Amino acid sequence: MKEDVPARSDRLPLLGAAAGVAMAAALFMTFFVAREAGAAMGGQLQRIFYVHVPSAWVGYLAFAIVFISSIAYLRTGARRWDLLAHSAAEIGVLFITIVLITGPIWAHPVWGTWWQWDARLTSALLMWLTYVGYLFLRNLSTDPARAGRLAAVVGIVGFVNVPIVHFSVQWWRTLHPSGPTLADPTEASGFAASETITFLVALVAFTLLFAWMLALRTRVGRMRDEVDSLEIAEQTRPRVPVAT
Amino acid sequence: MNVGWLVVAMGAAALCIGGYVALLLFRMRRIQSNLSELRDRIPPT
Repeated sequence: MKEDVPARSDRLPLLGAAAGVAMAAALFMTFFVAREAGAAMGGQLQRIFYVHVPSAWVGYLAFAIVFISSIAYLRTGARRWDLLAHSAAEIGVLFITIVLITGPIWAHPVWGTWWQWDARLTSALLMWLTYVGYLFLRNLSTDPARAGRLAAVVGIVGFVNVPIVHFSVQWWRTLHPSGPTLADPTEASGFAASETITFLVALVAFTLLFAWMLALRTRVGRMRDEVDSLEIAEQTRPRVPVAT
Repeated sequence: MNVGWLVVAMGAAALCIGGYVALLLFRMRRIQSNLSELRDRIPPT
């Protein structure tokens, strides 16, 4: 039992190293392999795309994990699902924050405005607020099981918005570019092979980074749980009088 | 001008990720020392 936490984390440094190498490759390709976009797409500023879109993908992935883990937690009541959902939500919020910072920086010179209340931007902001609310909700109740159940409901209901965010550019008229799709990765965006490969490397790098961060965050959570249970054990332990 | 904003955007992203990871590692180190202290105090059952 004592070796439980470190043994599980043996692969963590390896995953971290893989994520680091992939991120370095993605960054290099973003600046030196992908060609500069036309002025209409922001020129050099369009390189934000290689951080903005993979961050959005990681956000979707994180919230999908929250959704699945929340269902599993409500069905089984197992703490590990609650911890996984909590960890994924925290990291998802972080990456959607990056999306909401980098997007307006690109939009300002290209659209002539930082923000537009169109379907994509509004639904993305709503998604971010939902999961920020989810994280706040967890701290509202002093009973962790009750907080977990409440948060799980929000994690399930909140996920309804995720496909709306993704498909909003197809369902409604928005200023936001639709970008490459799996079915058509190059045609609609005007991407050549160098941009497509850079984009795919960035996607893999961000996914690896997310996997490492999630493993690290859940490990911290497990250790925190162990500290809590040891503290309870210490408080309830019968005291042996010390002979002087 | 655009390159300046590109640096700002990339820097903000790096700060978000780096800051969060640094916070996690700091928390892990603190909990780890807390954990070994508790394990030393409480004999295994």
